[in-house]
Amino acid sequence: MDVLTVEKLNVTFRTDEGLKHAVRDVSFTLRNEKLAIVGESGSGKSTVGKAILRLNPPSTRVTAEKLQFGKTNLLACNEKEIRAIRGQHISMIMQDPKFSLNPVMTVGEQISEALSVHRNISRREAKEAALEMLKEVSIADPEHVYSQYPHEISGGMGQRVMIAMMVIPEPDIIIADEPTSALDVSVQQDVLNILTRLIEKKNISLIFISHDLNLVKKFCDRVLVMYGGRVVESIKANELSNASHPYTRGLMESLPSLKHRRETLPVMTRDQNWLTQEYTT
Amino acid sequence: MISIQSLSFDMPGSTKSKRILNDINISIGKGECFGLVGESGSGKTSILKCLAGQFQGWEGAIAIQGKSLAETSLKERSNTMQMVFQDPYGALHPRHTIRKILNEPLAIKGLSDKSERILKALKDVGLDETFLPRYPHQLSGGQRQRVAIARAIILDPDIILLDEPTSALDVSVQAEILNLLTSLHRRHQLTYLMVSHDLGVIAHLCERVAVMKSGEIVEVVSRDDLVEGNVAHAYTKVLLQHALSRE
Amino acid sequence: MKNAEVVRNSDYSLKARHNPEYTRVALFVKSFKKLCRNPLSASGVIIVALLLICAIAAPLIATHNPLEQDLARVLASPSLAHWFGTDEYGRDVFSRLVYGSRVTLYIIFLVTIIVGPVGLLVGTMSGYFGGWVDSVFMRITDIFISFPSLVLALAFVAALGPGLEHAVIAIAITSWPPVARLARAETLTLRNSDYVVAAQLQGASACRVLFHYISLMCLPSLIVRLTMNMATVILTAAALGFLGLGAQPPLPEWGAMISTGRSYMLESWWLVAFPGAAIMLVSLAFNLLGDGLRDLLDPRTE
Repeated sequence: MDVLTVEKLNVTFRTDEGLKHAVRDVSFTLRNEKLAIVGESGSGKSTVGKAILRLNPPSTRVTAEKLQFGKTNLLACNEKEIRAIRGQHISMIMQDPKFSLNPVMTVGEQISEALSVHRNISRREAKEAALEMLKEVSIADPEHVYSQYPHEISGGMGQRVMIAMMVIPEPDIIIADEPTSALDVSVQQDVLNILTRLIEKKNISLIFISHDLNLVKKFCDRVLVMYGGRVVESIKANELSNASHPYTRGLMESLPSLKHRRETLPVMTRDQNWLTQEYTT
Repeated sequence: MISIQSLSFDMPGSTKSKRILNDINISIGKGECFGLVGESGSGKTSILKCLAGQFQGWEGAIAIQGKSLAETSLKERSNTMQMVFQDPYGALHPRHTIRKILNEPLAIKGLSDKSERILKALKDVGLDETFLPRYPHQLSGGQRQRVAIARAIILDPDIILLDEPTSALDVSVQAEILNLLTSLHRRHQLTYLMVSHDLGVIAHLCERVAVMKSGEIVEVVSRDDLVEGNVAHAYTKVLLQHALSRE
Repeated sequence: MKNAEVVRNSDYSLKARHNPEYTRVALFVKSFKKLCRNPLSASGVIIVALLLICAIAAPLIATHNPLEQDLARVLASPSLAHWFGTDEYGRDVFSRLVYGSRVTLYIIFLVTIIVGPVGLLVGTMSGYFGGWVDSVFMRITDIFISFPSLVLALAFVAALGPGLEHAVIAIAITSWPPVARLARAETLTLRNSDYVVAAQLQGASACRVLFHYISLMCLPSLIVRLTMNMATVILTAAALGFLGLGAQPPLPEWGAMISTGRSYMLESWWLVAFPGAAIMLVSLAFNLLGDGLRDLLDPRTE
């Protein structure tokens, strides 16, 4: 079943130097899967995620031939309807949890508030359920974390709390924008495992935006590689090592490897054609 | 070249001071690339800050080329040691042109033949003189980091401290910068002390790596031992397993 | 060299910015255009420009000699011959206003070139060195700030004696502390930035770091602050003039003009209304200009 269909999505920003075409003709279909959008800085990957939820700054122009979420046409939605979809049906996890959590409320209060709004339950029940949620994201001491403020918890803990909050309304899609880039390597894996477990349990589709090809190779089902605002390759994650596009291959090869150390790393020569050439499967 | 013996440092806090480095012992030979790997808060950058003179009041003994660091002024230190920072944008003054940025160290030292030196340093890092009138915001991340490296080598130091020099860059640019660092190391007989959270990057450049955790060195391993999985400490194994799982 | 090749095509999105003609002059023109795009700051620019023109070309613009008395035409109401009427000695109010802009600009200019460098020096030094230097400088600014500025200025003029130069000194003394505070706050955030550390590692002296690195970065917010400050300077100067402690007659100073016109205010409204309007308009213009400059120069809005 197609959860989300995007056809010919274009995003332009107005800057001092004129119009900037950040996303060009991006099309993809999200099924019940883990889809990765990968690219380097400036490739437009985050802009795609934001454009789906209309989170771009006001000076942005978003056009598409189709932006279909289930039975809803996202292009026809007014501001109020989009707000109802945001959070309820499509959630977003940002890179730094510190900016997404309310700094003057304890972590537990925020979770139980979200719960009581969503499930229409009493405060006591909400607290119980919130502690249950914290346990579910593998927090060892939920009682303690419940009463802490966002600045008192570590980055990994904060991202777990964010994940807990985002799955409460049981959305259909979670858009995760570099959720683990700010975390230490040993914590990254835990957070990803928790995310995988929860979305599989609750049958949620995931759009995972990242700069790290090697990370999504292990973690996602399908990968869209973006360059200069365009999708240059769409490929199954387990076939990434036989990617056809030179950009994808270049990204894979330029990473230093422990096992096969090369004195000089291969350097990518960028081709102007990548910006214009139509991608063929 | 660099010898650090029982280095400890307490960060003075508002109520009580916090120990962020505890009994660090490192000895780095001339021309060696030595790596410090660890997670945020493990104290790896603090060691660089002690060396660079940003942290005062550490205990222990640090000697550079046999000379005690405590008795060397910052001005003397600048002839032997320079630093490259993590954020290539923050490391360059936003209102100085590239010419001014590279001219500053020469002007401070009162050196002559400035233009030749500037051009040579630029060429060393793979840039040309068309960059001279530009400002840092007109350059890409990789080009900024090249300028920062040019500024570090322009005084012909023996030691370069590298503080996560590639972690703010895209992987393809990271490869370019790592290649540049490798070739500079060879051509200028430099000694590197590099800090990174990425074991892959560290092992690419450094022959020996010290693994740090909560202010202490848990293990010093050679690159060969890392590749063969020949490590003793449990924490090193976690880092190594993670790095290998990503290849 | 192979590396150079790679660098040149390594970032497509920066191509537009790679234009070598993107120089300081072009940047200035672009900023100026941006400033004029906002109607409020544009009106500020226009009024300040008019003030400058008035001051420079005063003899050409003024219809009469501002000091020439004509006792036959005392307190004449506005007419074609005297656009803004005449005062109690028959002097043309319009011409006096035009020449008064010279006095106003003279005060603004002197105060700003005293306050800017002093504030910058004190602020950056106390921010950079910290410790006892910071304590001493900041307690001194605290003392100056804790007095109402007009009272302090009055006290200084009373001590030095009335006069334009003394008014300038008094206003400067009361308006440097906020500038120093601002420079200090900026310096505190810059002190630990990587490029300052890099300069220290190159052996740069404290003096060099302050002048070549920190001051340069403090300038934008300082310019905004000084522009806003000019409005206050105009008001304080007018107040001192009004109290008879600033410019001395027969010099045409706007505050002094209101002061003398006050006695005839009920019959001859133009004696007070026109200088008052001039003061209001010019101080408003400097505020608007300051607001526009802040939008332009503040890195947080970029």
